[in-house]
Amino acid sequence: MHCVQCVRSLETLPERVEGVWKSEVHFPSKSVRVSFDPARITEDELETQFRTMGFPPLPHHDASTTHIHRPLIARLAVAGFAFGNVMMMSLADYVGGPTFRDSGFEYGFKVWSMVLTLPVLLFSAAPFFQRAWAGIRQRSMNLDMPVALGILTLTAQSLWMDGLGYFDSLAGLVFFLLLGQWYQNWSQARLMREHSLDEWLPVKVTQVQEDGQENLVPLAALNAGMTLRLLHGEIVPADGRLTSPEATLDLAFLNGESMPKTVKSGQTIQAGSRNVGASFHLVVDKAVNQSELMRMWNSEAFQKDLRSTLLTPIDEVAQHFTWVVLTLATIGWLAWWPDVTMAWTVFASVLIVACPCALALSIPFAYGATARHLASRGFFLKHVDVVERFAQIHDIVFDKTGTLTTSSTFTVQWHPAADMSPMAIEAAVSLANQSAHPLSRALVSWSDVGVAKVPITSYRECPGQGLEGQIQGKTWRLGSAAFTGSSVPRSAEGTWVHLACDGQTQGAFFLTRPLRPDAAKLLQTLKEQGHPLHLLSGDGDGEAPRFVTWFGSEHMHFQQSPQAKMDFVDRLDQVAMVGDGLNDAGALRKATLGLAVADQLYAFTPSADALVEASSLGNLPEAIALATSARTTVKLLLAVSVAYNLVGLGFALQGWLSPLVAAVLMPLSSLTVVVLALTRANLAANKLT
Amino acid sequence: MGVLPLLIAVAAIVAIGFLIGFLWALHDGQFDDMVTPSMRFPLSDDTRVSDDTLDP
Repeated sequence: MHCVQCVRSLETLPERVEGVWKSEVHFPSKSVRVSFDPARITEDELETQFRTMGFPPLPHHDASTTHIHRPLIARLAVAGFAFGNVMMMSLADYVGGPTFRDSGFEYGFKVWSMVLTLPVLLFSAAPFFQRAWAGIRQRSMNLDMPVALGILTLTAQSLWMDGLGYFDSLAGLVFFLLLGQWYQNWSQARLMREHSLDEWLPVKVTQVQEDGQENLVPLAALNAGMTLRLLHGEIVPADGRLTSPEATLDLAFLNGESMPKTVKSGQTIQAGSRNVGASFHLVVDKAVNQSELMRMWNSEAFQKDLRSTLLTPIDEVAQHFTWVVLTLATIGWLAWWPDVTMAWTVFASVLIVACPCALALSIPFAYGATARHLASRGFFLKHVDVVERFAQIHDIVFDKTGTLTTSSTFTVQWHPAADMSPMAIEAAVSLANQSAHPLSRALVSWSDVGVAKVPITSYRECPGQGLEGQIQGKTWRLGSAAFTGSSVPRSAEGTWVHLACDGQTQGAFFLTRPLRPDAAKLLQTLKEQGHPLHLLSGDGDGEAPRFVTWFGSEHMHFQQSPQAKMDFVDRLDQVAMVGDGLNDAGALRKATLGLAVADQLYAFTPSADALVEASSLGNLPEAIALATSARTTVKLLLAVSVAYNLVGLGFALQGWLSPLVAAVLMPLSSLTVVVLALTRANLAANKLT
Repeated sequence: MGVLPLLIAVAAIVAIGFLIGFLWALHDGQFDDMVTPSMRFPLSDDTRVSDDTLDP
């Protein structure tokens, strides 16, 4: 689902399908809610309808995700409401001054301000108190502590002092802080969606009963011992044993290998394999949630630790912030002693003015805006904080197949034998045209222009070996060297497909995976920028000459197991791992930045920090530049908020922090931070396009 | 000046009314999807254009 047309065809469903009353699309979560009459259309018919429209339904996942922003918006609304209305009361004081104080309205206005602020304290600001309390219990400092302290002091000071107090600043402070959180969430909503494995497995599979009858059963009902029939293109949902003579499986998701593998009767088949051959029968060994795939998926090793080990500049400041503020307040208190009233006023003023609103806003806005710019360049982050990881990378490790090279297309070279038949190529292409094997498809698309197809009789396909057919009375074979009786050629990274006619070698096709279009430019740019590059590949070293200019021979490592890749990445600091598939998952997790390359956005990357569309990988230098710029912005904002705090402290320590000064200073510092963060992020993004 | 408390009370009632209205709409899911409605707009327009061309 990706455009207006998709929304249109889904929402006009009631006009075209009998029994459907209403169909409503929710685009951000890519879901559609359908009301229908079960008497006139069944669930299965509806599913078929969606399938034929090109929207195969995925198993239902938690729909409550759409509601997670509601409490935050409600808190924001209450704080904004109170901010505006309390400000109206305070304005009378700021403008009227002594006239207002003599008018007799002061008491009533203060009570009304308190009533308006009460929901802000109890409802809107509740998350700050909760997080600060959690921080105290875990004995770790966070930025919510000085915020909570500031809010409490503002309340206490306002209740105690004469006049209207700081209620306007209090409501404004909470409003701005929540605004920052809302912006961060809003940016995040466009980021990478967490995918669960269930979304990828089929909804229902065909079960074959003992009497030979077939029926569809949902995955949850699968038990050990059941026999399933897997159709062409279906994904095996549970580990099991093959009972049909033979099956051809694509294991790309499990090990990154795009060549199909042939499995014989009695052998085990792992969940996650895709059937690319004829349909086969399988006896289930384990229930779906006990399969090797699920175990791997849920294992510790594949889940990225969400607690960031990297500290943003703001986190580093937050470690010490509370103590510095408390110390300063105490110094102020001591300096004014024995004037008790002034001493407490100064103490409270320091806590109020030091409330790190500007600091708390800088990360959400600076990194939030950058994350949005990254998304428009094809990089989808798991969390806004991942921008920090992007900014810190030094070494970059690349996987080869599927990352630097394409995973499914091939370049084809034809090496003819000396005594080749004039029709050899026509024969080969005509044979290949009969088969769905990736190598055959590659040959057909290579020959797309100007090769005539010739008629074939008694065609047969020998899985794992090759193709055979009669053309004009002669037997042609296309496939492995053993199958065609050809000599094994000199070794090179790539795949040889041999052609023979009546046992006579005609020549061979040499197929290699080409580099992705912008891979060469990408590697060149990164190298010039001084990033040390490393290549880790599970394949042999045949292709080394192709990459040596960028990596240098000492930085290329071949025949690396997933474990070896993981250990290699673990040894480096500030390293980005660019890879694909489950076989890179360990390395993606260990890396500072795990970047998963995906041909489609629905790829599965539980261990990565970010997902990049394969076609956008060339934007990586730009992405790093944007993130680095965002990190500079955060440091700049840090300086700005410290400057504001110093001015405020100047007022506070001398006892001049009136409600009016606070009411001007606090929103002003917040606005400066927001405007600076957004402007700098947009400027950086525009400069790079 | 005696009218001031009355004015404030009226203003407060109106403002609280709007706040409650907003929270109600929020709870009702009014703001859950800010993308699809904008895509529906050209969609219904499209239908009308094609209807016109079909029935001259």
